[in-house]
Amino acid sequence: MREHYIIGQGARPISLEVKIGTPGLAHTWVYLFSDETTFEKIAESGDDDANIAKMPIGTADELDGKFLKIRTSVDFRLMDPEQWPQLIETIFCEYILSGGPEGEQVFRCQADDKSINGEGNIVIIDKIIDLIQSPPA
Amino acid sequence: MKKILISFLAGILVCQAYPQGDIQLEDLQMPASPAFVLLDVAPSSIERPTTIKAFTTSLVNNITETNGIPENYAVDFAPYWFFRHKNLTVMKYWGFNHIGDQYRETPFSQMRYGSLSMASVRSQIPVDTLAELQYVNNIAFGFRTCLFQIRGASAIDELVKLNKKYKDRLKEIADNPLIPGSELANVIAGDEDLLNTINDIRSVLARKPVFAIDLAASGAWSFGNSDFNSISINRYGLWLILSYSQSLNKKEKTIKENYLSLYATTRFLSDHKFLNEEGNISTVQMMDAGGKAELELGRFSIAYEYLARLNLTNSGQQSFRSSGTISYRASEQFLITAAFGKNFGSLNNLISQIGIQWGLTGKNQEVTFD
Repeated sequence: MREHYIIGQGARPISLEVKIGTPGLAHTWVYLFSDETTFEKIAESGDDDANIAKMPIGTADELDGKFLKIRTSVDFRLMDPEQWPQLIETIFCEYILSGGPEGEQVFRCQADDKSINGEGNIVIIDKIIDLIQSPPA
Repeated sequence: MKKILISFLAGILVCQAYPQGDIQLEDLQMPASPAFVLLDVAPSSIERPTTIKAFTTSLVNNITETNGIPENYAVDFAPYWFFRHKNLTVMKYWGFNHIGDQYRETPFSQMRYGSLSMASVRSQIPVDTLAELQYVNNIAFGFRTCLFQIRGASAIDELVKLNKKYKDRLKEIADNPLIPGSELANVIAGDEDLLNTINDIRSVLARKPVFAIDLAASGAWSFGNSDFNSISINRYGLWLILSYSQSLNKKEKTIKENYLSLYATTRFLSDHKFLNEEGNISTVQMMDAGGKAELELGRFSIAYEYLARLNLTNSGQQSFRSSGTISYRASEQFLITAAFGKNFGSLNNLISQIGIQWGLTGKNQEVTFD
């Protein structure tokens, strides 16, 4: 589900943190899109996990009108196949944005953010968050 | 034709597998579902829910059907997996963590993945064992877990390297947000390099831990005619196994299949409904303690085990079991075992049997030989 975060205006720094909890092999990329096809990768997780520590992603004025696409790949092929559906359902994912006028906001992944391969053992979670200066009318 | 012949032979051997009745080759093993082994009557089927929703649905359905205590219900589940875990990572799941500049094992971390088992079975019992009660509700609860596990430094190093190899390859093929998620999931699934790395990781995870302690415990109660006030304990038991395994393969070999393993085991059983030779119900407490040494060379293994049985109620009834076992695993689903030696007791105590375990994974009944 596409969501939005109010970033306000000016030079206020906006930060992002990603927390992923799963026993699967997982990795996260964070892309900042200017439009539907123009993007830059601004962060990705390390070797140990799929988390991204709290990091500045730009100021409110720099981010105005852009959106974040936070993509996490989770591979459950090492787990018992009988567990796959439950493991997919119980992936912990939190995307924490802060620095906006309304303070910290926690977004979670929803069922429609997940794409699953035919065998049901690989999940791609795409969380899209619009960065807007004021609440939509 | 070969398969038909093997199936025929298997059928014959299964029929002759345990000619001595109460002697079971798996006696020394820890029960997979401890609650079920203490019941007088085996549940006809066992539910293994993987979600909390499935668990509560099955429980509620069984309670509703019987208007009370389920009459034939058995469930085995690992509650840890019912919930989301914020700090869970693949490395933590494998049993180690990045602390400072080093990866260190977390030996107690496997404990949380333990399983619970519960069973409720209604049975009819002989009237002379429980006066005036014909129907008895048997309920049992049990748990099983790995208390402690050490994989060893080399396994940790390999898992760290393989995890990095997986991630490096993933970054090569998946770092494009314009690929739709469903398409990317299939790209990852079809990538051979990733699959090879997955298989290497699987081989490392399949190795026996250098040291492990497994614990299981269960208790069984009964009460007559759905009258909860008549509840009484039937049995309770505890199993504890310490294992040490030394790989005999070369260090650089990913798949380890040769091991020298040592096991120390103890079991305690308190049976409060023991029917003695005079036909009276009494309480008996027994403890088994012993060990096993096993040499595994690929599909072949040879083992010797010694188990002392201490009757804690009657110190005059001590006994021991001393036996050797030879096994050959023809495939993942097909294990042939021969055992020889002395069983507990002083009469009919010769162990001389050959057995086949068939369909170990429960999914593939077809046997093929290389």
